[in-house]
Amino acid sequence: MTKPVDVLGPILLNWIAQLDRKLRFLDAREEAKVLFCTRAGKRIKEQLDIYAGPEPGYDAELFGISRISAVKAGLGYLRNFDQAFSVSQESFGPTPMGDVCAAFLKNFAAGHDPRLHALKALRGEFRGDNFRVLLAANDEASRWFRDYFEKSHDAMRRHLDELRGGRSHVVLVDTGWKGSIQRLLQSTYGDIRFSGVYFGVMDHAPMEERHAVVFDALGYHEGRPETCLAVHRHLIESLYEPAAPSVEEIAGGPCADIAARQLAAVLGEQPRAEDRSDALYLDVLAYTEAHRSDPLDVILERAHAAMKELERILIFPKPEEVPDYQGKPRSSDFGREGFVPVIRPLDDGETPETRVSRSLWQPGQIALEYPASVARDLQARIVGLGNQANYFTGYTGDGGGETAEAEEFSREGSVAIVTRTKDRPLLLERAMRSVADQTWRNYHWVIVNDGGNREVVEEIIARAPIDRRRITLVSNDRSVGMEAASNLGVRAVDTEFVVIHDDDDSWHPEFLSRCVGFLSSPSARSAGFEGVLTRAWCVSEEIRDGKVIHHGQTPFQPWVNDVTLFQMAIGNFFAPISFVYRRSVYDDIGGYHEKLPVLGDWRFNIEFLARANIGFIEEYLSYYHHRDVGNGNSVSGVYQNSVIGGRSVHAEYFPVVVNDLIRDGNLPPSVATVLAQAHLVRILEHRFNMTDQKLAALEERLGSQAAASSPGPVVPAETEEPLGVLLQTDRDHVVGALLAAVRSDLPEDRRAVLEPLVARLHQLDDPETRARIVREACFAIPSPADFDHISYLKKRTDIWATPFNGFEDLKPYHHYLIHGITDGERRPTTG
Amino acid sequence: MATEITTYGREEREIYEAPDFDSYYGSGRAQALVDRFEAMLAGADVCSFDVFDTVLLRDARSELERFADVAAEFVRRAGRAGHGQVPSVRTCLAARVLAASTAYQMSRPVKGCREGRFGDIVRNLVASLSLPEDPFAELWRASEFEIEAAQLRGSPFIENLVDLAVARGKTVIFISDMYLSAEEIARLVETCGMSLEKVSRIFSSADTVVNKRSGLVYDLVCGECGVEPGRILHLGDSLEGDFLAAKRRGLEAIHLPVPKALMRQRLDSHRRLMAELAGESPLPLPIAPPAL
Repeated sequence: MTKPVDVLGPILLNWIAQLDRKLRFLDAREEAKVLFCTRAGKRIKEQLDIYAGPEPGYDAELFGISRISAVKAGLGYLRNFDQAFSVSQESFGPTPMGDVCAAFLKNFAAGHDPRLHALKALRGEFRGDNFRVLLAANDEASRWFRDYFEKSHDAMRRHLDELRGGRSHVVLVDTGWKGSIQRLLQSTYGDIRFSGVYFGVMDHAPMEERHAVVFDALGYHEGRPETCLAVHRHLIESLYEPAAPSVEEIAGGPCADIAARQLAAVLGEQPRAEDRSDALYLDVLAYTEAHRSDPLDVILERAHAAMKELERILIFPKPEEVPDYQGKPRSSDFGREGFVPVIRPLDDGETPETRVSRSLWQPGQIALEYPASVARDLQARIVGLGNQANYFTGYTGDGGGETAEAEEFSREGSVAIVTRTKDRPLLLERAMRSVADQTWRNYHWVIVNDGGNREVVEEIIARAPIDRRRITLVSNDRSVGMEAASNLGVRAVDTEFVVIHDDDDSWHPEFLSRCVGFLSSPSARSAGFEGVLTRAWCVSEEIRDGKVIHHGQTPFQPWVNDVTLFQMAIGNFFAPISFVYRRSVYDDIGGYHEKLPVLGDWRFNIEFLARANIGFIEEYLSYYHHRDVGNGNSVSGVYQNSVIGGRSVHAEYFPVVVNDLIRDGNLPPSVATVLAQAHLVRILEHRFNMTDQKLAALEERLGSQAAASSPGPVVPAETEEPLGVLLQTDRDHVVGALLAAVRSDLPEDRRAVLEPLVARLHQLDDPETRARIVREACFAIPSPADFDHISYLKKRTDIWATPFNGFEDLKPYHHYLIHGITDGERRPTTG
Repeated sequence: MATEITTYGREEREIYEAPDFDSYYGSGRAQALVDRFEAMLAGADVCSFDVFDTVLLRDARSELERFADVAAEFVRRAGRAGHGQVPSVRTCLAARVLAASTAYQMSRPVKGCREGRFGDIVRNLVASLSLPEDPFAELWRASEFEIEAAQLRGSPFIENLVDLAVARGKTVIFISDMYLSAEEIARLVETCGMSLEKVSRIFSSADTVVNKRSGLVYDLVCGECGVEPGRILHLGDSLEGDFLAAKRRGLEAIHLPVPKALMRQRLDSHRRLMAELAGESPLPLPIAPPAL
């Protein structure tokens, strides 16, 4: 077995050599004070001193600091309350307020102090609102508590001023991982500029002057060996952690003596050779000493080779390697005491699964829990290398291997984007932007000017920020119709994939990238997916005064989760803008049916599904625009949608398409069977719809009769919002909020709650379904700015002492959605 | 019914498919490009050119090979001057690449853009070689300048376009995304035998930090030249920085790609060098291969 120092020595020498280069650079750029943050900074500086010598070329010093002391400084005068609270909450978790106060004051308050007892007696949950109130309150205990933070704030300021000696730039050095101290200090003392140089960064929130030396990743990425340390960062923390407590107090602050003692303890700590982790650290120092004069290319090369070995060890450790690489137990900080083991003891009475989930190095825990034959698969899965999809690797041929380097204009992965247009420059310009913004660049944009003004189209092409080699204009002197125009466009170029991007629709910039990625994947090929569909927004808009006015957007056909021939036979349920397909299937079909003025895409989709499968991407990546608001040109003129402006034509051609398909000898007989069954479904659906309409009419009549018999002021109908039904504004709000939440970086448990509910958003009119959605997803539905809580609470005194009055995630607005609407409450609005 | 099919970008395609710069620019086909340039020039007040691979043409060597040549020249000069033990060419090359990477990563961002500067890169690389700044920084600067100049040549075709623009009374400027300052770029241009008399100003991202790729430098140029974006015609080899970003900013632009065959030679050069540099294991230098 390779000795741990042979693996970690080269890696940590390279890190320290790079750190030295970066610090020199920062200092040369603008004279800086380099501060090594305790505790890890002590050992980092020790190693750097060995590498760079006693005079490194920049002014460096140890800085007695910890996250809790940076938080204390930020809480003083509430100078940086939000960040300070956020870091505190992240560290304390769900804890009673009194315990948090005790942790902050543990070095300051005498045990018998009645003010401490008063604070400790606060058993409510530690939350931002009540913590802020506590810090602003005027009782004796609160004033005393506040005073402690203000003194801490002032002391930190003095200490920083002393350390930096007039320089405006401070460089913090630490192991990582979020740069919380840098962020806190930067926000608290805005006139000082803080940079940070860290071993690694694991944080999705951007920070301009935070620099990672070895890795910057949230997790492990295959092909980037250095990210293995994101799986077991504690290895690095452990090596550089001195055997001394955290410096929780601030030099010259309310506990100056303790701060001095804590800093002295860190400075004076001696790595213990009997401790396995410390012994390894001492070996690393010896390695640094022995190789400090190695040329930097040799240092880099050896570190690279060693990192490959470390990657294997941290991702697929063998049981005998675990003790050497687990590191020492992780010490608690943030005012708390105790240690957390990296590897859970196997006799702790828990199940192996529980121990693995709690372990700080999960692949290491797995190595000890399971036989080698099982462990490797589990280790792969836990770092994201293996999952349910990969399980089928053997069947899909997704066996890895090097992917061929694609050329800029290779046919592989190329997409023909066909845009049919006729005298709609406003919309064509938007379509051009939609194409130009695609992150997938291997496309060819074919504009088919179907009898419109050619010059206007050419002007838009001239303005396009699109590689000119990727543009073709097909111009007809008179219109040939939608399907013939599509065929002209598709056949004008040769690409692997095709998509119809009508001039009135648009995409998310990642649309093509996701679709081509899907269709090119071995798993998609194996499943016979020759086309792919994404979710779409249905955008409501109008054209007014030469501008597109956006009126809102809702999920288009949110019930769609897959694409089957049977469903397609009932009716077309997606727009061309959401559908990318392989050209070979188009060729096999023979293109779009040119005799059809409408429904050509429906026929094409049925023929497509008779030959190949269409995959589904669960992301809203396309926008299906409807000019369904307003009047004049917007709805009925040149800007009309064929589905809005030409509904009767669709009805007329529906049987034509069905009959033609049934008679088509090129299609398998099963298609005719499916179409026949679909016909029965349509009849049933029609009957249901008629019954629903009759019921609705009856309800309306009953409602108006009841209203007529009840006293009350008469409000003109046109200014009155309907009662008892979900208003469009609330529907938009709820749908928008939930979809935004699903697209955001949600914790898995919350995502699991939301995702099934999103699929039911089209049922919001049903009070029971709405109540369920709002109750379960209330955390993701904020109150709209125009909802007047005060008026609502005045009206509904019955909810004053209930959870709807501001406790947890429930709010008066949620009560209105769940009960208010069905109770016939009017929606109160502000302003 | 008549259908007409127009395929755009013919000139761009012909340059891209040409075996080298001269095969296209020296041929009669280039006249179509000149005609297009003149037509677009009519609507412009300012005519702007990218520098590297547009005004000054690079050869088939990759950036990595060029740095290797610089490192070799530095070692040769240092040895000749008797400055004691000098690190190996491989070490110097690694220092150059790592220093550039550090300079880029650690430079102070301006509106989200970062750029390394040659002076900072050289100081940092000399320090990381544990050599004193004096005389080694100057020695490196001189070596790199000489190698750069030797591997560049002026483009007669672009010189002709500059003359045309000046003859039409247009202001001519150069814009470069580069670690060299405007002053250093000017020296290189003149060393390559091109006069700067007709060029009003050179903008380099080493000075402005904001760059062409982000499009922000075009805003700066418009402000400094006092013209609307639509009155600037920009030409350059980078699809992203010289064409797409310029168009997004409202400029008129012409893309002059580097011939694919030349890019392939540069890619081969990069790969060959990387293979030569590998010792017991690969040397993972942070330098991107030329993109085809």
